[in-house]
Amino acid sequence: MIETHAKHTQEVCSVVVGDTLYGIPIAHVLEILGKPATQPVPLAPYFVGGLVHYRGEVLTAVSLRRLLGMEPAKAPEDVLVFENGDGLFGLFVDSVGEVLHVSDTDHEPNPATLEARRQALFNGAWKLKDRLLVGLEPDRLDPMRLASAFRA
Amino acid sequence: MDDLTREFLLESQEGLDRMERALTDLETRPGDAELLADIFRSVHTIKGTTGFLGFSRLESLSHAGENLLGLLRDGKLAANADIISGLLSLMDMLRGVLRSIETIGGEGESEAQDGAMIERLERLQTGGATVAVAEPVLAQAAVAAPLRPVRPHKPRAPRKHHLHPLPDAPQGSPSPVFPEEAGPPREAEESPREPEPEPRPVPAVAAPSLPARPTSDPTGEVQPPSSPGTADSTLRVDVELLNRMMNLVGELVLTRNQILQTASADPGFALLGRRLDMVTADLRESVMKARMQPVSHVFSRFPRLVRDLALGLEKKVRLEMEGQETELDKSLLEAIRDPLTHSIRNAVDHGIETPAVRLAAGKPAEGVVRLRACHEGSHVIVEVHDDGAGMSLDRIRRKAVERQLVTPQRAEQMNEREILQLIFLPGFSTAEAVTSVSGRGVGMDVVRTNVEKIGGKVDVESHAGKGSILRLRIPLTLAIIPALIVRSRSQNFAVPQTALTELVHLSAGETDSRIERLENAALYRLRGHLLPLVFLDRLLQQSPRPSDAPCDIAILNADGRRYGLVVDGLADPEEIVVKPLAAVLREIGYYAGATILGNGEMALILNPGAIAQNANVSLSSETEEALSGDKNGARQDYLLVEAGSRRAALPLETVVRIERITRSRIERAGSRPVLRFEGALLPLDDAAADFIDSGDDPEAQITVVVCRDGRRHVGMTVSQVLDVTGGSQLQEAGSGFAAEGITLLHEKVTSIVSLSSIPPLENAVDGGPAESAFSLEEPR
Repeated sequence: MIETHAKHTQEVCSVVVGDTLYGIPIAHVLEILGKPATQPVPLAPYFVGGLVHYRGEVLTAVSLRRLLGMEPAKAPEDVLVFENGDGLFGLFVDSVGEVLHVSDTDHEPNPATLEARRQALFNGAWKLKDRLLVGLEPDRLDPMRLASAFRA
Repeated sequence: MDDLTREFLLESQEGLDRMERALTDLETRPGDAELLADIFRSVHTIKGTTGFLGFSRLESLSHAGENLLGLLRDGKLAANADIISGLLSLMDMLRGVLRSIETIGGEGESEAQDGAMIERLERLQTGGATVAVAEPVLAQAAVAAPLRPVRPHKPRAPRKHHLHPLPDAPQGSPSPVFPEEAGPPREAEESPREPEPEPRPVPAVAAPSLPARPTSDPTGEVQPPSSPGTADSTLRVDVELLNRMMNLVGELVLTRNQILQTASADPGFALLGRRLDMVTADLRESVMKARMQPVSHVFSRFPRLVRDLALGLEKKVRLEMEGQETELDKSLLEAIRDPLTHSIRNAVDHGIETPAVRLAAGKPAEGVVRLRACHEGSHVIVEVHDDGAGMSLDRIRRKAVERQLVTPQRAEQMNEREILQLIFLPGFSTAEAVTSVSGRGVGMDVVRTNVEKIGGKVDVESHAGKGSILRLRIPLTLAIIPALIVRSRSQNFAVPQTALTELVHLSAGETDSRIERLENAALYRLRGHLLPLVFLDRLLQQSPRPSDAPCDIAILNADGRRYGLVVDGLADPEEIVVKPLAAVLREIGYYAGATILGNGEMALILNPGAIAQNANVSLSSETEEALSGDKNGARQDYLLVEAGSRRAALPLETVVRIERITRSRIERAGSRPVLRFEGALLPLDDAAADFIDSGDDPEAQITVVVCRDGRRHVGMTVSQVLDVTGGSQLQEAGSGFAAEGITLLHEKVTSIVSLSSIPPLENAVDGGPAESAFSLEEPR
């Protein structure tokens, strides 16, 4: 990442999955659905959490927990809605937190020690005062992309 | 003005609008092949249709333009300002003629101007053009000409007025060649678009030769606005917008359902809810209607296609079209355009024989391809029927084996229906030689894929020596389909009603005994035939259901494959709005989409065809059996019922429906037991009177079989419906006379209920209200 002199800040939407805090640039987030009804899809790729109903459309939602190989959530999850090339998709997270202002100068790339799958998903991290905010990019979570990337 | 002409005007005007935009774009991008192809298409379309409608002026004008555009499109001529202005003035002229057709109903006469225009375009094709390669262009033009199909108007082209050049229109200047009758509305129509080309930066190269825009009227007269024409009273709406509206309506329907389910004590609320319900239904209908277009949109290009094909193949073919006004959802209409074109090509190329062969077979030399569209329930049927030689089963079998589409052993076992289905396999073609028309092994599989993609079905029927029928069954609308909601492991799934033939319920004790097993294959014996079963929970790898739990079997027929889908339970049938699934989920193959149910829950829509394929369910031979059954005539299907303690048979074709009612609904009219049913009185059999008199629980359920007796409907109360089965005719020993009133069912002599024994209502005159009120919708 190229460092610039101008201190560039942006707003990120913070979400929690497990014990980790993740941040997604707010510009990418179309809408946040609070604990929507979901419909599982039998035989779907492992990272698909299910379907959610969003404004007359049925969205495929990716589960961050499944993607990271974590236990299924015990409580209903929140869903973030993103736009990709040919439509919309959702992302299941444990809960959505507040919007944080972060600065590019606090951003560090992924550490080399990070496991390969997480390398591909995470976009570095912002150093907050007391903890790390792991960067997520909707582009990397696009179900179509995940399907071709993690076909095993 | 007839619809076809109005349609043509609208289409042509749009074509010209597009052409105008493209032409102006062409000035900045002279080499753009896509633009040229687009312009060519517009002119070509006009020409094609005019020939059909008999507008000779338009035809000769557009033909001249098409020749020039053909050279441009093929790169044999480079577009320059002269050519563009020539084409633009041609466009204006065409527009003038269109306007005249719209206002005075005819093309008008203006030979001199037409001739001048045609001559100008021809000059542009050859010497007039300032392209370096003038010589080759000439040569190629000459070569290109014979390749075009022979057109009847060709001889008309060299006219005497070719001798008169354009009055004094210098090359490249806007030509004021407008036929008189073309004048008035032209400006009115063009002015709104006027500002568009102005601010566009024109590349320096093009600038010097850029003529004044031909759209600016040299005379500068202001014309009074014309009365609203065809183009003004209708509006082109982006299909995307309609899709979005459909979506929103779906959303509204859902919200309405939720509101209606919300109980409220306030009577005003219920009233409002009902009103909302009505408005929503109306709105939904209107939006769906807005998406409907008559099939003539697609049909209209086929006369030309058949004519050209027949000429090329030296056959005589007449195209007959029926039901052109049948309406279909716009997106579906687009989707069947290609399949239909393929099918018609096939009918002309493979189906219809050459005149000599036909005459030898005792048929008229001219073959007939009949294109028919009609409604059937929530479907539109489009049939392509040809009176050709029909398909040779042996040849299909041979070809399929040759192309290794089936093994020889399998091919031998196949029945007629299965063999005919082979033509839909990719890579199948029986044409002996590859002609320009067909025989390249693409075609029928494309037809099937495209039709199935939109939830339709393709069926083929062939009669040796008499021809074949290809039948496309297209849902009326893509957006909303009737479906049965089934449940499997507490999850909802929607099964399209089109595939559903019947439902069987197995109660807790029955599942183990009624589901039979042959190795790993589960089977159900349905009226004596073994039906393969597919367990939805296992197919989808859901948590398995206990083997003795009650279940329902949905008997499905997917493209001739019959099987039973075992599910945990059934919910109500519902009209569902189909929502597309993301590509990652489409890949699974079993789902055709998703939907949101009335209660707000989501359901995946199952694809019965894909499930059958995965489970290796083979094509059923039932239709063949049905045919052979028809031949011996003695067999008839009966509904076997238990009435009182006796078994009785009701001829199946008279059965309209079976109703479960509460006992208290049976009433007496005079001495007759009757049932108020769908707003009319249904006379019942005498035994029904017992239900009124007996002191049993008034809420007990009883079964009434509603039957058709001549023109009236009557009801038969039964204690149980046992089965549907075929009965054979019995004959009296010795005499061989057919026994009346009895039949042999399950090897037992069973009496057939005589419906006429139920007397008519005392005060119903023949043809009276009781009867007409019972004109329930006939199945099929």
